[in-house]
Amino acid sequence: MNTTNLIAVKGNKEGLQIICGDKGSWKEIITEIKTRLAGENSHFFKGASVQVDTGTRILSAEQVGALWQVLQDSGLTVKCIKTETQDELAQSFKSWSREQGKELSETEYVCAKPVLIVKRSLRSGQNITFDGNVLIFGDVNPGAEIIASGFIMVLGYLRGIAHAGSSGDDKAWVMSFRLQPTQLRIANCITRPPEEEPQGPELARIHEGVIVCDSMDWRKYYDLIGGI
Amino acid sequence: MGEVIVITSGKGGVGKTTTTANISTGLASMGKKVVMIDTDIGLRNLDVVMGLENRIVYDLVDAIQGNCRLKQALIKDKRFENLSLLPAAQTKDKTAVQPEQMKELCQKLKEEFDYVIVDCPAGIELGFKNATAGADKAIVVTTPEVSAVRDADRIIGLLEAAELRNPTLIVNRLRPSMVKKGDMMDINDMIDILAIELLGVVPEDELIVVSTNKGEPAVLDMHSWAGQAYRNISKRITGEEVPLISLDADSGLVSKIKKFFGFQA
Repeated sequence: MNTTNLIAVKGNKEGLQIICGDKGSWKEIITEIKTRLAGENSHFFKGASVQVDTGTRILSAEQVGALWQVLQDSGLTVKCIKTETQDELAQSFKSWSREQGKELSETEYVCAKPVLIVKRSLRSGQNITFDGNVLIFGDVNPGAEIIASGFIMVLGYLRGIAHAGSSGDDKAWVMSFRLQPTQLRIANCITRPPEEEPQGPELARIHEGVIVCDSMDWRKYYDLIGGI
Repeated sequence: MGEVIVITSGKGGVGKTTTTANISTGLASMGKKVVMIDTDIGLRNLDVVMGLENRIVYDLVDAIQGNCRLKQALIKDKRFENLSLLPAAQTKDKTAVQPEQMKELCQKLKEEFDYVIVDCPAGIELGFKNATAGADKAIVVTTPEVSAVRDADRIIGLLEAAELRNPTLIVNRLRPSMVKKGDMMDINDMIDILAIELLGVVPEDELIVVSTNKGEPAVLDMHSWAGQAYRNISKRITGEEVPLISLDADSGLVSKIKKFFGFQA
């Protein structure tokens, strides 16, 4: 197979851009990135900031971690790893902001941290630990655990344990359609939720040193979410 | 080519063995060729529930290790010609069987029988891996208790990891009167968490204790409500569409049970 078509490397004023095609296995892609960056032009890339588009692939935490490592080893500063699905998210964010009457610059909605997208439910005994943000399309059942250094967003029931900002980021937050965790941790704060059932989507964050939960209001939290 | 179905739950004492015995007998009474495999090595009791304990000569470990031919280890049921049991070993170590060997065994049995029903031991260790190794489908049994549902959720996750997708659920020992009072989890609460298809609901029934002790599966007892539920489940396994029995506390089960015991309805 002709490996030169697996990825495309482009440069623009903001830095380097690596776009991964849909062909080839992830292993082949990583090898290709390695060879391209280690080629005779390697000194040219040093210190550049890089944006990677992984296309329609769904990557595991280890795969994203490995990619990150390869890029860092080549002397690049990783700016963003994004996938097709994350782009859709950004698109909807963009159209929403237009409706609100303000135009956002790209840096305001593209996430600075990688996002791990999980398209299934987490059952008891299953856990995710990720250096970045975690987005779950499904439920997180009791006995399951998510630990993320960024934010955690669960588009479903959150009944397990969630720890956002695990490396001490007290700006991290946890959002869920129904926020009923066994235990909730943000940065160094730990809390148990109240007994009553929530009636709608809620967002938990740290306010004056304690975790507070509020019903979801995007306008109210725009600064918080847009700032990540 | 038959189908291998594993009956599992994670938690002990929720009725895996009773369910295996009743579903297998139910399928056999419908004329299907069925074999049950007890994989609970060291704690076998499917043979006791079936009333076949005194016929055991060879067991699962003998069959796998080649101490006897597979045919010799299969025990014919006393009620149905087309129902057989492969009992677990009682005296051997549970590491005597490996998942690869179980896979091979299930493959062989599948060629001869319409249904191979595997009774899984409690827990998630080697016994569970053995029981699920050769399975095509899984049935998860749970009771309306938080701990049992939690374990069932864990098991469903492990089944999915083992490529056994879309398991179905049997809720066992449900007490409609307690559900009505709000003292017991109801079916919807459980389906909400487990998010898998419901195969059937088996009401709590004292006749199950009697039939288990006698070694006569309740599915053959026309007076038993649990037996009726198991008959329906067996039919659903063969692809027939059977509606759930009404578990309304007033008009259905309880008054009938009361009538049965001679109380006023």
